[in-house]
Amino acid sequence: MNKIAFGQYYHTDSFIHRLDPRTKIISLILMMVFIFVIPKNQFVVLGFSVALLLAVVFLTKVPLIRYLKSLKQIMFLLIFSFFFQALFNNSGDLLLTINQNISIANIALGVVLIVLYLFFRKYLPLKFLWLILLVISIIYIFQYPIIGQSLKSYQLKVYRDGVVTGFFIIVRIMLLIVFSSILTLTTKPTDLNNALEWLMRPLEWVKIPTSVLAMMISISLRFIPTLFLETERILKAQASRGVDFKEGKVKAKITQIISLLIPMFIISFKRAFDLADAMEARGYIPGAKRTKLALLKFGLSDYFVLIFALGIVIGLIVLRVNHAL
Amino acid sequence: MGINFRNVSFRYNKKASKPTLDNITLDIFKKSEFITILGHTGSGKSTLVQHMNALLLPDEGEVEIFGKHITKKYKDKLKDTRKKVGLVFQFPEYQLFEETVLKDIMFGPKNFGLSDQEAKSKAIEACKQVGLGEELWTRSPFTLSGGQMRRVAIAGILASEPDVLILDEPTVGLDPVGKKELLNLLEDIRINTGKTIVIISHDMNVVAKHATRVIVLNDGKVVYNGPKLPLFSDLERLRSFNLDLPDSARIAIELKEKGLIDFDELPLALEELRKHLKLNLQGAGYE
Repeated sequence: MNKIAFGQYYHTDSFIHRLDPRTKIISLILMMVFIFVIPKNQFVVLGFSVALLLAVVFLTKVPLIRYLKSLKQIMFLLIFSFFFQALFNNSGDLLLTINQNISIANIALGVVLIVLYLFFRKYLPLKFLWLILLVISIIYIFQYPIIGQSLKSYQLKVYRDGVVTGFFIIVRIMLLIVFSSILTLTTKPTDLNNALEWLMRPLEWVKIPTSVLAMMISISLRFIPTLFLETERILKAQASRGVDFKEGKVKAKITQIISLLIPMFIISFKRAFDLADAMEARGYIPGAKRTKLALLKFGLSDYFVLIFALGIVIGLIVLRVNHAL
Repeated sequence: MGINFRNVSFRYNKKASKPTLDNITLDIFKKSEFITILGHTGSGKSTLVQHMNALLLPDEGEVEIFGKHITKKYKDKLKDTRKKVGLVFQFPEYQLFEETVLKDIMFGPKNFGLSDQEAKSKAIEACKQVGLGEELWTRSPFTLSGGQMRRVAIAGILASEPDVLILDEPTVGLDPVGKKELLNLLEDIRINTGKTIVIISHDMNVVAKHATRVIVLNDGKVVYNGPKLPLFSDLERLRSFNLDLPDSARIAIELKEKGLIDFDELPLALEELRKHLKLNLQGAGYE
């Protein structure tokens, strides 16, 4: 039947794909620390981390579009935080002053633009670019009182520090997202789960059943596509009984949801009980010591990557502590 | 009037080179037929029946369902169509959700616009049709046995009074008695109400006993569409479709090879085989 791709894993063979998943997780954490230790105004270090990121992205052999897709989801957040910083942070040199005059005609024109944007949003490609355009054009309109007296005027001031901070925030978030994408794009969910289980091992000392948790995660991952197919089947079965899932009335909606939820609950429980029986029949005992089919093993390249990541983080911290940066 | 497929093609994965349904032209009339759809796993049977009540829309071609022309771009409401063509999915017991059996059966008719009162009388009628006793009506459907739950689900479709009733492997998972009862029930519905019944089945004995027409699918194409006798008489072609003979036909052929009985027309049902046996054995002096 129609295949449901779960997770982001992109199958290909590359140096990064072949790394131990634990190496990738630990390096990701180290890189996160690195990104947040970068001091403000240090464009050299920021440039270094961007270059490093691009090098790793190139090494993964994953098409660039996959990374851009993950960035697209947070585009709004990025633009918002940049504008917020640029407009409200007022220290450093004054770069730009924009006069804003509010009049009734201006407000009306702004509202018209917003309504037009909301209306055409569905049909527009590159939504966020249009959103930026909208914000800029509204700021532009408010510069001139078109008709009538301006009711109130104020100034938008852009300072150098605001722009720099905004720029740093954007680049940091982008770095974070792309580094995380490298992990999820090059690591299978099962490998990721195995690595997490290994990394959570220390928690066993405080009596947290990590192997059971890992088993739960892998079972959930395994059953997402199955339950998805079941949902589709129940949807169709209820549609055959005259449920119109496009119908808008609240009362109809409630019945629709109930007619889908209850069967799904029952199917999930039935599957869970069946699976529990099957697991017990094959000798699974929760919490008992288990061996692994796929053993994780650190190779030479893993040590190299870990030492490199640890090296740059420690290096940066040492430089900061000594006020060299 | 009925369901007419005109050069219908469909693929689940729009990029796949091989379509699930490949240029299908087919007519299903509303005239008391008992149609069985055969074909091995993945031949497109379930996909085909989901086109019959427009749960899936064809990528190419057109399905005409009781005067409505369903194509790729069809956007109108489909409630009417789904009322006229009732589709019972595989393991339909999983679609039950109401508090009581009767309420669950009323769900369909109510969705199709009947009042509570009307829906209730239709539900009671459907219960009687499928043989659900009055003591079960107020029970929760989840306390019933598997066979009973399936009857409730089928009654849920019957209560909407469809003109064509389609069932996707209705006997899977039922015990032999339940299976026999269900098939006899479908046969009764066909004879008493003149509805056309379409079932997907893997069981050649069911085909041999009940079908008035057989449709064989292979790799998304209709490779056979006609009465059952010519299909089972041509052994070579039957093998090429990955299909088997019904039990009675197999026994009859073996007995003929041993020279014990003789026949011109292959006996498909047990009763016919019995007749032949009686005739031949009496002739040979057996009682």
